[in-house]
Amino acid sequence: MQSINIIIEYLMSPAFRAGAIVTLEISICGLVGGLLIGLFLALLQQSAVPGERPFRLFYLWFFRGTPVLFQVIFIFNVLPAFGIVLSGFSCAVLGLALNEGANMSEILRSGLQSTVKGQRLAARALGMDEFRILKLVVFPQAMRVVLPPIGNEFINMLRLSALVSVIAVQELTLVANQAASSSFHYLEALSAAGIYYLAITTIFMALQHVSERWADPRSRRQAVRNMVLNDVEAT
Amino acid sequence: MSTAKDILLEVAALHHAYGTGRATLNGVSFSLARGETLCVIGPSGSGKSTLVRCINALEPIKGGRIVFQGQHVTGSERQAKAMRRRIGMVFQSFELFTHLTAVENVALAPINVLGVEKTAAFRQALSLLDRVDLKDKFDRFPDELSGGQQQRVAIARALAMEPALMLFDEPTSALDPETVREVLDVIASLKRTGMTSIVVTHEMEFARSVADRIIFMDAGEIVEEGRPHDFFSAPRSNRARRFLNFQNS
Repeated sequence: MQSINIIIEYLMSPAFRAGAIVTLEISICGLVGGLLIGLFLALLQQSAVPGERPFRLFYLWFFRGTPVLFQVIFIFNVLPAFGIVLSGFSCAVLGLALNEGANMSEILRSGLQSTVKGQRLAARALGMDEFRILKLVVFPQAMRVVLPPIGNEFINMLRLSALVSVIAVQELTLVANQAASSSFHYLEALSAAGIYYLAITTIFMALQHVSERWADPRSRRQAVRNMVLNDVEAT
Repeated sequence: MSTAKDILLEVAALHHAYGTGRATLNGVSFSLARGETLCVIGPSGSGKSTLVRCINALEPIKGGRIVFQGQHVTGSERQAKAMRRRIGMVFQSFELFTHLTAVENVALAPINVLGVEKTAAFRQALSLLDRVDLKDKFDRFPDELSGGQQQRVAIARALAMEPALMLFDEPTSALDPETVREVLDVIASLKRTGMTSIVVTHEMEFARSVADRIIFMDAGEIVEEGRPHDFFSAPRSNRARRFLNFQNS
């Protein structure tokens, strides 16, 4: 009973809440950064710019071939030697985003390739330019393919974010560990952190479910019906 | 004989090859009058599909020229895009946008390429779906339609751009025999509205009854050209005779 009260106390404490928010921020920024890098790499591959292949392969080789923990420590400790001083938070996000970009490029590539060549040809035959083809034909179809794996990547990112405690970013795991070692309430402090992690994961999985339904074309059928019945037929 | 004014499309000495390979089109020349329906027939690999793709500037050509409505198709990509808006194309495997309903498939290009207002574009799309007898299926996705229905939506989609020329690239080759008829009927009905069409087809009966003119191709060349009656009853070339015999056997 005593323990439960302490856990609740930790859960409500500003330090834990702040730690959870930092964890969430790192995960979201890392994911968005990874998405942008991955999109860049995937489009680069499609563009067939000369020299894109060695660059891309080097990137994938480097960031997949070394541990994320190593990358984060490297960025935090080596960049200042070149005059680039970033906050711990920035280093954490940069490290996770660079690493995530490698994973994302593979996911997005499979999404972009899911639109069969023929549909692109049909779009060209209708007079669409490359930008419109991507926006109107390729992306909406890619979305369905990439949303589930991107959701998984977020959950991975959330778990990886605990690694950045080594560069003293006040995220949830570090906060919990510090609280535990100063009070010796290991069970209670770490349980509180675990509850936060699971809560974030659960909320996120619910969001993922909603977004996947939103990306399902069938969810639009009723809207199309209404459009036709109300606006088109009525006028 | 049609006067020069009536010529919608002129293809002259057209050459094409994939990469550095053997020529797929080797000096193809013909012209097409407004309102005419031309059927292109010939064995697989004779260059029929490549020909219609070149006309729509979807394939870069190696030589010769294509003049559509008095303008060269073989200009810049910008020019090519403007050209494609006036040429409708229907593919063997339909190529409908799988994430859109039938009505959205038809309205997509008018809204986004021509800038037609959405309600107006949907209204036009519905009337085109009505024209191919699919108005009641407006809210279906491509995978909820039969092959013949998908191809009819694809025809409506091409017509939505109000093209001056329709290209059909083996429009019934991927269809079940029982749905071939409904697609061919739609193509025949376009002819009655004055549409100019080039139809690459293996449907000899259709070519015989609907075409104003037949082009028979083999190995990247036009071997024979003529009126359907003459071509089918008395082909002049040996190659055409062999091809027709094979088709009938």
